[in-house]
Amino acid sequence: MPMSILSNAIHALYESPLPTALRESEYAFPVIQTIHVLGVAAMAGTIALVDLNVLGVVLRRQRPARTVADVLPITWIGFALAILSGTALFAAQSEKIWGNTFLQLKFVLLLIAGLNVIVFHTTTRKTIEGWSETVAPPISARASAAASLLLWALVIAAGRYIAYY
Amino acid sequence: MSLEPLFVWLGQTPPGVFLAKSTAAFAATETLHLISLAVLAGTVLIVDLASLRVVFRQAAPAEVARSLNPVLLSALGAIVVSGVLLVAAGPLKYYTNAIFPVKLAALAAAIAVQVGVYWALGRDRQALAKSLAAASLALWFSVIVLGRWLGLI
Amino acid sequence: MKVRIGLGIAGAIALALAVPAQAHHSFSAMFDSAKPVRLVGKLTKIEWTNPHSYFYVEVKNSRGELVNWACEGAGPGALSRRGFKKGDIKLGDTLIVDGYLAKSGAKIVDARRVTLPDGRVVNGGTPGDGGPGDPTAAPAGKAG
Repeated sequence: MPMSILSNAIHALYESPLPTALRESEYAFPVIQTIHVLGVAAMAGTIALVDLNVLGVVLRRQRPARTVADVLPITWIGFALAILSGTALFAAQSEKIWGNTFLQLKFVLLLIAGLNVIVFHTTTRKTIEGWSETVAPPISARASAAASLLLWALVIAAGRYIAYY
Repeated sequence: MSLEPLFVWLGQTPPGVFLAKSTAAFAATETLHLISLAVLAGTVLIVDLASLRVVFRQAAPAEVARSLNPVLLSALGAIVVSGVLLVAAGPLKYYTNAIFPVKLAALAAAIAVQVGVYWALGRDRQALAKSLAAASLALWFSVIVLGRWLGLI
Repeated sequence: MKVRIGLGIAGAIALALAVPAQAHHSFSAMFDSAKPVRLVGKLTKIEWTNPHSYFYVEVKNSRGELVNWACEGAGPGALSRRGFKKGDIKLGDTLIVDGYLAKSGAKIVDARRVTLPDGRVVNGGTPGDGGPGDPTAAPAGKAG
């Protein structure tokens, strides 16, 4: 029952005017694919640096609170570009790819990565003023940072593998 | 001077032959290329934006750049190696692609200008560092766009 | 050093995710350059879409049965830049498609060279894919 409701919804999405126009476009689809790569690169790249900072690898001389405050806005811009373009790309191909194992895996990984972000920001990040070059962030923060590196790498991998299935 | 023999040779090397046959290895190499692209993009964004006094305004941009240098170089190394491997898997595809030489030229320019940013910061030439940082961002942006469009013409 | 370990882990993950598949996305990844195929048949379906276009042709195999083959082409933008537009073909047209067989063995070829009803020959796929030159004919009947 739920499956057929979902598959009807996907079909309706696939056949609706904007996704169809995008799917059959000469330039719009490749342009949106390009925006997706740029957004993902900006988002994942800056997240990686914040994670590496928490893990004590980079930017050790800066205040961690400053690093997070300065870098994360760029991450958010990248995220906005990635998710808007990603939604458009999904809609345009929805009926053809929603059964794709790697597409499904990517959605699951995005959810987990998102949860990790929420957990980090609502808990351990609150201690950030106490971190410094000499006082390492708590274990929970470092675990979250390591998980973040792994998860976003897997999201990128899953995204690439969609085309291989 | 034709570079075609070089491309042909690349395709005949053991990694080239292996990647042409093994879909799994090819996909993994592409994935490594993309992950290192993200890390590279993150580092150049922060180094160049710091030079432009957009982020880390209370810090010395030279210090931010110095701190990120190892990550930048690692990501650059990984992306070049994976890129060469991808070409080796199907060299004629790239040899005949009109966009490929443009991408390589943009990449060379981006690397040169990024080095210039570091040089200018090291000599406290703030204004020069800013100009070069802006050019750097534009060049890296172009490299990414050209890379995506390789497969679209 | 932590950075190298990090990149190493990323690389290991990429390799661990390596799956055999009816994989695709570079010529050599999906299509077998040792198996050229020529399809001659009536166009039964067109999908003029991104990221790939698909033409379905009905071909008579060696036993005289009608079999549907899928031909994978480039997206609309690339095709249009080569002078191949959506209106150039319609259902029922006879097409000649030269390509290479999918590695999976499925009835799919890449539409490297498409001969249109008006005699024009267009490139449907990605040029210079690292495969050999123009595909030579091996009738679809022999391929299956």
